[in-house]
Amino acid sequence: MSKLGRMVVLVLPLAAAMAVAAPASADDGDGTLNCVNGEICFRENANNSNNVKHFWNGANHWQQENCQLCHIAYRFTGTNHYVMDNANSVRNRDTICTVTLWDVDRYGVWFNYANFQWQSDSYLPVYNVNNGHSRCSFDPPNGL
Amino acid sequence: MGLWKMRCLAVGVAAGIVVGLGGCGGDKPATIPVNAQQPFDIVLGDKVGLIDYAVQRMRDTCMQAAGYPQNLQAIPDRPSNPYQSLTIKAQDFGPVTEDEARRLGFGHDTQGEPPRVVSFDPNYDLNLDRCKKSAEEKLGTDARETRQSYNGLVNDLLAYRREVTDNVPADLPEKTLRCMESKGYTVADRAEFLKKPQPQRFGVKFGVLDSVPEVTWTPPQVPGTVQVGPAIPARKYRPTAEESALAVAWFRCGEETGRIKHMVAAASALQLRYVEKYQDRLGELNPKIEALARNAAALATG
Repeated sequence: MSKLGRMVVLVLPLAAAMAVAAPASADDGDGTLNCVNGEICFRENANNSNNVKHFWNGANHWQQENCQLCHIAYRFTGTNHYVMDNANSVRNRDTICTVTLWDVDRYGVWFNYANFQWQSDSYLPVYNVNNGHSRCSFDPPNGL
Repeated sequence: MGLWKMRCLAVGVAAGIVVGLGGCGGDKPATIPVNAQQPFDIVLGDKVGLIDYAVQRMRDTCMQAAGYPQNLQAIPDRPSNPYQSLTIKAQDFGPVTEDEARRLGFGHDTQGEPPRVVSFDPNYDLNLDRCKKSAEEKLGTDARETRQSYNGLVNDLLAYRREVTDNVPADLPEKTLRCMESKGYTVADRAEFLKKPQPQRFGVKFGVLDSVPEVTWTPPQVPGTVQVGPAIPARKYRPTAEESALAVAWFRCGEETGRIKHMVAAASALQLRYVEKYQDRLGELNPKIEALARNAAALATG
């Protein structure tokens, strides 16, 4: 799925415009750049990038409401870069839950491709294909 | 446990067959025969669950003694295998009965989640690190490193799943599209569908999970406090009527083309390859996990 989101944004300019116009997503962790206890933290896949995105909760990075194949939310803090398919390390500082990461396959099926234990000491590498994450759960974040 | 569930479980255990939850949850049995080998049974997920449970419980007992009871009150009350998705299940590739397709479309009801415990208190942070370190050392001096290495290994094994859809018959997308067209479903771009044969491409609006306020909880950021968010309840997936109809057609076409059987067979073959590829690391780490799990069990009963 790693190329699908980008491709769809290209072929659906209206959707892309909506994405730019979308308000900041509600879940931004504590809003600081430090990954603190309780946050699930993603770091951008870019050389020397310190861009991060933090969540308190599980999230579908591939938003589908009213738009089956485009994503309209979740960017690295202070940038317009999508979190989806753009994170190469994760630090899970959820104090309770293992976090499961999700991708979507060629046939449109969500699958778990990585897990991160609670209270992680550091950012750990992850394959750069995220479409969502869940807490303490083997259900994709949107129920699909 | 009802008779049907007991029979499902007995058959599954005896024959190595994984029957979809839908088949064991009150629906008619899956009509798609699935006889998957489970090469990733070599991964010690249950034992890792036991280790995690022991560490978390010892950590949080220590936290309670330090004046922070929040985690002990919030953690799950039993061990669970954090690597359940390694088991190949037919329903992971789409609806496995017509009833399920009609009832759930392409979605699933979700289980609940425990509360969130988040910190704005540096003293909590110091104690959480101290208590985790102390809990891990009770299990073994290598507990943290072994657990982290094992998680990395499992993430490497999970990469098999990305290859599954490239290891099914090449004409499957075309057969799927022809079948769906015969049932009245069309796509705007045939070539694009053949590259990405996704049911989302038929222009049908999908449903949503029940909306509950607990999902979007954000803590009040009060310095010096520890905030506890509510547990998230189990939620129902509500497909649209068009999604249900599409899912029934997709299921029927899946039976005609053997889609799920092909996916399961590909998954099983790939897992075998990955076990061979990572056998040295499995051989090195499995005994260490076994030893930590023995210590965890002893601490739980001691």
